[in-house]
Amino acid sequence: MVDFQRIIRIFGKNKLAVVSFYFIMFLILVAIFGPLISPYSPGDIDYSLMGVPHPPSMKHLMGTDGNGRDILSRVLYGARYTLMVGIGAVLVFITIGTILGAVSGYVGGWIDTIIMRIVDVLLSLPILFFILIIQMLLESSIYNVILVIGLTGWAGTCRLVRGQVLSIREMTYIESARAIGASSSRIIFRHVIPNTMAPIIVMATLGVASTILLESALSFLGYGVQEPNASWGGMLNKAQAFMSIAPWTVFFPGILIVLTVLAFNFMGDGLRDALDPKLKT
Amino acid sequence: MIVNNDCILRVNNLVKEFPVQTGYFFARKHGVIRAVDNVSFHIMKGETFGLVGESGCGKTTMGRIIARLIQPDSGKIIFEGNEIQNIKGESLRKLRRKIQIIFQDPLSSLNPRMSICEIVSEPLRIHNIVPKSKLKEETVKRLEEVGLNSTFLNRFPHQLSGGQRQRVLIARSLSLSPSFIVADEPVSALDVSIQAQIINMLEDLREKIGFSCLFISHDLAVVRNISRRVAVMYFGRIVEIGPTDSIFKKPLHPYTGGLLESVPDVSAKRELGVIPGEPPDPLNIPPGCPFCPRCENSTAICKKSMPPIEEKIEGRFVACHNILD
Repeated sequence: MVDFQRIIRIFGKNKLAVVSFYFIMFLILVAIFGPLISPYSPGDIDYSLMGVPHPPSMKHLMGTDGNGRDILSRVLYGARYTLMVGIGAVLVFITIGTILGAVSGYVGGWIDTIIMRIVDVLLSLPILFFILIIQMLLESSIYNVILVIGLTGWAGTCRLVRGQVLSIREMTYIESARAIGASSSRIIFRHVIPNTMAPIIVMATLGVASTILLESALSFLGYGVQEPNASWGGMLNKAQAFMSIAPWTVFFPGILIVLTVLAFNFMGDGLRDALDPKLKT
Repeated sequence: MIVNNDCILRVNNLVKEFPVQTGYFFARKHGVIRAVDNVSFHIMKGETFGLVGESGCGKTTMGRIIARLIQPDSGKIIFEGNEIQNIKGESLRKLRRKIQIIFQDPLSSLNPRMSICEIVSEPLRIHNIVPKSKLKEETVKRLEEVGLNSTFLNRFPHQLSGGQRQRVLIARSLSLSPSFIVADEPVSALDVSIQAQIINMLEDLREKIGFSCLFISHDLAVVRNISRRVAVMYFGRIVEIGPTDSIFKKPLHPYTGGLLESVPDVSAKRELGVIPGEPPDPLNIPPGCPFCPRCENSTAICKKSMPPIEEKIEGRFVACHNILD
């Protein structure tokens, strides 16, 4: 029973958030229908242009990379992998982090101690190397990338949610819910978690951004999305050898990462305001 | 002990202590504060029983213990003939339908992210009282009982006035048709004119539904109006208990006397009585009567021994060595 009209109205007032929302929707459409509109397959090699990157031309709107592959096509295909990894991993770690954080903060006691010690361990691991080891042991597929980032990335969310819950559980409405006989799980899911949504949404948007960056690092080290499949991070890193002589190889995937990260942040800001029922108008 | 079938709630020697810790890294127990110290009283069926006292005297803790929101350290709570101080799980859930609590601050007692409809119907949903199809109808009925209507269904707590919020809270508590209500300063946060409305409404509903009520307040005028018997709490103990009229006419405990003196009177312009001093440090309790350092009537014995609560005149129980005359 959420007042969607109100949320949409407040969200609509934040123009930057609306633009970001449309941009993300556009990216998602591209990610879904990319293969239909892309001029080439991401692995197609133009043998006449092989060896050195070629600048944008009518044939290749964003130019070609060092292997003679069309950058536009790779960017379109890459949107799919980048968004899938970014959004997928964030969904995994926000879900785990929120539930564990809420339980930890609300229940307290030894459950809290155990969960928080696991969080401490996760936060003190050099996470990239940890992921690399797991990726080395497992087959390196996109689903493994999502799962591995998701399963290791929830510590920050968990700590954030726990902190929120510690203050929320002292509110009288939690006591009031106990007084009418609500079970602990009902209190956690109906009363506690909805009141922590604002910081969780912010955390999720930042999470998409940092996950995209983490995925690009993984791709660079050869344990992310595998060639000939493209991801923006992977393209960026493949292109660094040509950065000075062929800036377009860096520019297109790079600017897309920047814009996507910004868009998620702006949209998160707008959502945070719109989801706060105490905000007037 | 008097066994009385008309008695809905009996509290025997209830004690609640809160540990006090100091330090952040190496927290250690510094001592305990006795918020409720050996409190006993009973409440009759259909009665509104007043509990008054200054802030920090333990009256809210008392209410929350009875509503089973906090666990007493020792003592017994007998509700409708059964001991309830230790029950858990399903039987506690069943008890929640019978004992409800109304909190002081209606805004913080309502989940800001739930609509009024969700708030009022939540108890009905938890206890499966009405079928889903009738839920909305039933919720409107409850709202109408407290003087609201269906236009409030989709509003949120922050869009309501203080009085309306308290009405929502009362509708929510009463939706389970409880037989006992703990009203913890239900009107202290409201304007005087709204206070009267809410109190009259509570009284009407009490007569209609027939619940008994523990009415906690620091406002003596309100308590005088609403309750037939009243207990005065000081420093975690009950110092005086008896029929409201007789206590207000002739207080026996010096603290009760001081409390009555300190109430401003609208019609008569007189010097307000002030109780001097403050309660003793709860971590370092002196022997004897805790009111002794503030008491004009105190004698040597007050410093040495804690006065037990005894029937001094018929129906009037007082814990004092030198009662007022």
